Amino acid sequence: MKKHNVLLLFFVLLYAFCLYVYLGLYSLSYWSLLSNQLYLIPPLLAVLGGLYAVTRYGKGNPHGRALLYFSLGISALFVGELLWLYYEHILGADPFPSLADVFYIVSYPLMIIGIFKEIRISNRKEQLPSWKVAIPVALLIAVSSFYFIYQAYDYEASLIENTFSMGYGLGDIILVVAGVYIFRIMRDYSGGRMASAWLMIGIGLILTLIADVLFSFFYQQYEESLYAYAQIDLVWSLAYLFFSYGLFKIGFIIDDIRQKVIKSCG
Amino acid sequence: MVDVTVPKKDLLIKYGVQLISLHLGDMTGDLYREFYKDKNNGIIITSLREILSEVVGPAKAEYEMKKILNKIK
Repeated sequence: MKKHNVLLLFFVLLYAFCLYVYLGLYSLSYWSLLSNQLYLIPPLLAVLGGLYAVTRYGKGNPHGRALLYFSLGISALFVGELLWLYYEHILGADPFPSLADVFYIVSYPLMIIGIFKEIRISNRKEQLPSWKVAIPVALLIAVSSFYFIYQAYDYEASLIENTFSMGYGLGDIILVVAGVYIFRIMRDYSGGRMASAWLMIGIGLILTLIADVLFSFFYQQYEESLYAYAQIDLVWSLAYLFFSYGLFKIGFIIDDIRQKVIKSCG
Repeated sequence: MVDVTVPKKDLLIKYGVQLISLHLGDMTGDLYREFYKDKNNGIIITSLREILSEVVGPAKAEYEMKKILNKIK
């Protein structure tokens, strides 16, 4: 069985377990602590996937540097998740606004820097002229700005709360743009194994965006842990698993090619 | 299709390995530098095409190969 299939099987089983725990098929007192710890596993796996891919490329490699920025973004998300749980479940304090939000928000620019660096390496000159991408991106930004930033503003909230809320809105716009560009990377690698790895990362971004939008629309219900709304965490968990799988897959592709040449050398 | 009878083997290996290092890391590039030492130009070009097609897709592979072969003309 190939490494990426073993990993896929592990992720499917892990996610099935997450579903079991998060959908409440458990006795609450014992499992609630577990579900919080369980939630940290997918982002941790995404960080490990990033480290694995970066080390396969080696220091100084342009793809490695691009993935390093992307992985730092995911690491910031992981630290944000850790701090969020610390504030909410150990200190018993409201985690918004807090240091956790700083890490969440910092993750967006880091991820987009990584994606732009990857695009600069991967794009061929004869590809689409930039305006054909720029127009849909500008439209997406215009629509997203209204939903993500303007609607995030709350006249009754404090300045810090509004700054963070709008920061998330801006971050989600960054995710929309990043999603568009990831599909450009995929098209550039069309027919190659790297395309499928980047597809996984792209799906991870889309799922993150969906979870962020659901969270901003249903924040109140989420905070009250109402059934179905609290399960937005499942979407984020799935996003992290897609990131992780895509990043590990990049590392596995490099390993496979190395093994081939080592075998050929006898 | 690009002409496969390229006489400058050292340059072909140099640029080919640079390309492999870019897409698959320096360690992979070093392995291929060893592998190509005793291979002829035709085998090196076919091998480069195969690896690049597998990793980054045939269109990008052909584009990169053209760039290499133009450099060493």
